[in-house]
Amino acid sequence: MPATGFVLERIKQGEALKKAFEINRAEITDIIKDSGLKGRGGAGFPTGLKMYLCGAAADTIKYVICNADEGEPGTFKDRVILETIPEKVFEGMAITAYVIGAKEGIVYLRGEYEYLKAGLENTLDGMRKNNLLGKKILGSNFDFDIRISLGAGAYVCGEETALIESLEGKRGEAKNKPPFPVSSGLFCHPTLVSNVETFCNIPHIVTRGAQWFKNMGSEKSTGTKLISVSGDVKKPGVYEISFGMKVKDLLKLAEAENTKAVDIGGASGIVIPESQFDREISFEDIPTGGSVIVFDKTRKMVDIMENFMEFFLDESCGQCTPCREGTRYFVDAVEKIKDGKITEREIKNLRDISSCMKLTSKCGLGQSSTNAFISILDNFKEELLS
Amino acid sequence: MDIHINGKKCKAVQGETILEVAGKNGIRIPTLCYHSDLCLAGNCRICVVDVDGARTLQTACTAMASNGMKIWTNTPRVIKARKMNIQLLLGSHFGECYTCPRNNNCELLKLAEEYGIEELPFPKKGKRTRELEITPSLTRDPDKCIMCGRCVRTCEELQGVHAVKPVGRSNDVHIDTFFGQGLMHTSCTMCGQCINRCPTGALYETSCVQPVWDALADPDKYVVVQTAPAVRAALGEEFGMEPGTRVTGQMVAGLRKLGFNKVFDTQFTADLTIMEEGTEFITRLKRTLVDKEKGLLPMTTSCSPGWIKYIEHFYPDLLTHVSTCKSPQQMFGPLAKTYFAEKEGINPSKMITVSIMPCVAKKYEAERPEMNASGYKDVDYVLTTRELAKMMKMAGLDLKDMPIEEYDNPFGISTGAAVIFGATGGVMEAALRTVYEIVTGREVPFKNLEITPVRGMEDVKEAGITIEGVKEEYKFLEGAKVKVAVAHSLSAAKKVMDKVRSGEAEYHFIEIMACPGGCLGGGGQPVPTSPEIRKARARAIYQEDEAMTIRKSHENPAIKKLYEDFLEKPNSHKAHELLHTHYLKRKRFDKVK
Amino acid sequence: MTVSSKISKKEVINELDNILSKTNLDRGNLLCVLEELVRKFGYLNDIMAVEVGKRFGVDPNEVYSVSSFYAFLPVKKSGKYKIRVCRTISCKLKNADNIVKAIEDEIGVKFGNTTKDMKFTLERANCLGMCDKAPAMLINDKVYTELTPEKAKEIIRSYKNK
Ligand SMILES: Cc1cc2nc3c(=O)[nH]c(=O)nc-3n(C[C@H](O)[C@H](O)[C@H](O)COP(=O)(O)O)c2cc1C
Ligand code: SF4
Ligand code: SF4
Ligand code: SF4
Ligand code: SF4
Ligand code: FES
Repeated sequence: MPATGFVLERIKQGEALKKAFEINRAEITDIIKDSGLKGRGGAGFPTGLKMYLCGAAADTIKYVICNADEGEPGTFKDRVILETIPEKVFEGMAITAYVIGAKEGIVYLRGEYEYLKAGLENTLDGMRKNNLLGKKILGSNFDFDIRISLGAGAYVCGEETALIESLEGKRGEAKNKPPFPVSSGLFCHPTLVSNVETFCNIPHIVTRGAQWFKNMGSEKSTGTKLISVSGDVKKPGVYEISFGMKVKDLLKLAEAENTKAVDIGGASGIVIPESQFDREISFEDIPTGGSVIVFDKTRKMVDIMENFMEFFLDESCGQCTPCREGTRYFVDAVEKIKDGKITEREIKNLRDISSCMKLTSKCGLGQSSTNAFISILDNFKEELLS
Repeated sequence: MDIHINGKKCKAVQGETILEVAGKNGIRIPTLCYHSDLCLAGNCRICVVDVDGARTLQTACTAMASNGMKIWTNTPRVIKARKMNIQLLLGSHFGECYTCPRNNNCELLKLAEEYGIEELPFPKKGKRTRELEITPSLTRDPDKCIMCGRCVRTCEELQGVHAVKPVGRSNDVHIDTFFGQGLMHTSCTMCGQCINRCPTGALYETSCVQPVWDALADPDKYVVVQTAPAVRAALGEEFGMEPGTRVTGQMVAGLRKLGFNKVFDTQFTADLTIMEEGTEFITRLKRTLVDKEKGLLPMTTSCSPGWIKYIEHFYPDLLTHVSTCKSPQQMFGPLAKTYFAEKEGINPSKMITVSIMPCVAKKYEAERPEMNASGYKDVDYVLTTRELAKMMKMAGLDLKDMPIEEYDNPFGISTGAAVIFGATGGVMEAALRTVYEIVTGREVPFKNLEITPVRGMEDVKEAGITIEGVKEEYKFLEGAKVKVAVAHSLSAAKKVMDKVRSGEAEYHFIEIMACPGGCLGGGGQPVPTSPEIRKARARAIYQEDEAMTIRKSHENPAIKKLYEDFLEKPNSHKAHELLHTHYLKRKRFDKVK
Repeated sequence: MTVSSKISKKEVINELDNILSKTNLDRGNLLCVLEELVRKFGYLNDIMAVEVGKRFGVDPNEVYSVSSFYAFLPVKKSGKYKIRVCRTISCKLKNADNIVKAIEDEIGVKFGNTTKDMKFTLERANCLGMCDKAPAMLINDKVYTELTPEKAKEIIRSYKNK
């Protein structure tokens, strides 16, 4: 596994939790805020602020949810985390629960990862035996436990409100926001949803401090990011990079050759040509939930478009007009591009549909599902329209 | 709290949506999935507006107003986005407006016009992809569905039936019944409430207009028509009149012009229902109080066929509680084909009975195989209020220009008690006016005969009336406090019936109507519907009651004569044969083994 | 796991009793119970929706609607072993199409279909999160990676006798 850094490192179990019990809750929130940690699931919402909001919500029942739905094409870093250091994720959840006042944690594990479940249950049992979970954790007054809930094959359930609906036993349809889950989430109780990797960062920040964390990465993107690299590279796998790393440097690490294009952010991300390989992976430039897919010069861009748009045609929840109805036209357009039959006017229409989807879709899926299509169209115009 | 809409300062209170605040300030925002009777869905994305500080557009129907919010309802990007969403809906919409039952009243078409949609930037769906589903009451055309989910919310929240649901996902998502087994096999009550809330032609009544024209054109046929109470309080809306306009006389004139041989009033058999049902109620009281029989009380009404189908599916264990009286429509049919036919010397096999109903469940009711007490199909065709309007328009008749005419005799004479059948609580009020007087010999002790506790739009209403000073033969009722409940909409029915099942309810008599507001909010009434529209129709109904000279069913002279000449007395053997029925225990899903 | 063409009400009730002895009836457990039923019977039918609905106090049609949303809760007859070959780009770049062809050859039905003996259903799946070891497939809850056509055939064969 070509990985460097700390996120995938094993730590002494319970150390961070013990430290957390020594500091008061508000202070931990401040440390996380100060560290600048942003959500690693893609949207990049400041984690400390989320903790603060959820902590401040008045309710006796609250939930911490670990989003392990990892459905974005090309992303597998959460799987690797859960295979290697699940106990750190759980400890991060416990610290978060302690801070916001939750007693129950849930891991929403995508159905495709069912084979990980037994191992995760084992880890949980071990932690219960060591009093890292359960009643009066490590002699404190804090009770907290975690259960694992399996998804059932729906990408949109990675979206936090859809995920919550799914956990409530409903269709995984995203909900209108506000209200946000931090104020009204699972069964209408305040709920903090974060990504697997985000939880992994928390124990480290608690033990080593905000400054240590801020020393890594860039100004607005502190810390490191796990990147799943796949496609036309010699060394696919998970890489931990400092935020701000240039795309071309990542390509070097993964030993990519003859690279024509790189997709950053999966099907809902963007595809850039060689001329943009100087750009940086960060919230300031190109953000990503962790997917980088590399294409070499033998690949046809239209095939990539097709694959991504078919993905969304499968995976939209279908409840709102722009996303349900819009996606289809992009799939049709791919056919026309293949046949060399697309017209300027049709391209203009597609752009109009795309901006309507961006502006009016209910959730992030519809808002971002044309990103790849449009960026390929912009960046590889000659190839597509010749 | 102050918010700004298009630069105008507007007052708002906590918990109000942008749409509500805009509406109060006369600013129109178009909507499609929103309906004032239903919970919020926010899925059509037509009502989007610009909110300062927000990256994406916000849906006005779901977004709450917050202090200082600056909203723009008509920026170029808002208009463009709305227009695109309308175009996207039209793009997957199969069908041509000129063949569509909703072409004069379609929310989608209206939006298309409003947003100047002259062409679609992409090819429109050219083939049917899902089959029509046709039941005796309603037809579903899934290819015209825009997935607004109003029918789903209606069936679930308002009716508690869950007959239709979204199935599948993404581009394949569609509205369907349980495992696609069809409405007829999955306990749809045929109430038609979903029709009233569907913005498009995806749901409509299964039409009987053509066969009625055919009957009218047939010189061999004698065609009589009956009109239900609630129709006269709503038909005007189809001709552009304000909701709540009474059009009884004009409707009668119109029906005559259409060529019906006799124009009769279902209100006549509504009075008859009160006689039969009131008598049955007293008998049930006696059998319970004196003979200590069980399972007879509370008695529920039976004039709403949607309710009947609902209880058959959902509370088959409680069917003994339902009055055995047929609905007024189904009392009318056999009387027309026996009593009236004999009297006039008409061959009943040549007689066609048509009824004009605010209801689509009545279409199903008329098709029930047991509804042939006359030896023929008792009611041949049921038309909704909407279908009647359509026929009049086809004949070039405008209700506004019609003179005021009277119903024909003998089934045209009715009372105020009968007209209020059209509103929730009306059957109860009419029954109490009669039962109390039969038992005590005195008028029911409410000012102006208005039993106000059972009036109004609360979903479950309760009232009690103590019976004192009874006549000799009703001694067993002296001092009894009769407790009644009135429920409208099937979710309200559920509240009451759950209590009956658990034994918690102490009611003696329960009126249940399947539709919100009673028949005036029926599934065959003009679209749209809203709480305000239903209130206006109710006002019209109660005005009609007040204007009547006779206001108690037992005082209807034609009813008295009917008993004298033909039926002998209420609940007689003959009455039972013609006017009473039985019910079926039905499964929720009859295809599930 | 049994897959027969007719599933009786009794079988369903027995299995539900069995599942519910380990789970409570909170609506939040609905998906988990449906997943268990699929594990046992291979798919969900109307009998199951009715019985599950009864236990949970949720309308059976709601159970159907919910199930129909999820790719892993099939509401149509489906084979005992669901072969889900990843169709997403990273696997596609590594010739997932050839894997599909090999499997089609091996089980004799095309993509999207079920074998006559109700043993295998061949489906496509979106990204399985195995892109670093592409191409990948799932057979029920087991994952197989770095497939070659020969390897895929061999794996399928090992299921034939199960
Ligand atoms: C369509 C869609 C899919 C998503 N999938 C995931 C996912 O698989 N994992 C994840 O952590 N976040 C996913 N998200 C983002 C979540 O909505 C949410 O922002 C995130 O879980 C919050 O965690 P974080 O703050 O730690 O990033 C998805 C969002 C959308 C719109
Ligand atoms: S944007 Fe797409 S996935 Fe999101 S709510 Fe709308 S239809 Fe569903
Ligand atoms: S539903 Fe509306 S838009 Fe569609 S065909 Fe009917 S009238 Fe026209
Ligand atoms: S007719 Fe009534 S019961 Fe049937 S689907 Fe419509 S709302 Fe539901
Ligand atoms: S049938 Fe009508 S009410 Fe129901 S979702 Fe479709 S358009 Fe909306
Ligand atoms: S009316 Fe607001 S989203 Fe449909």
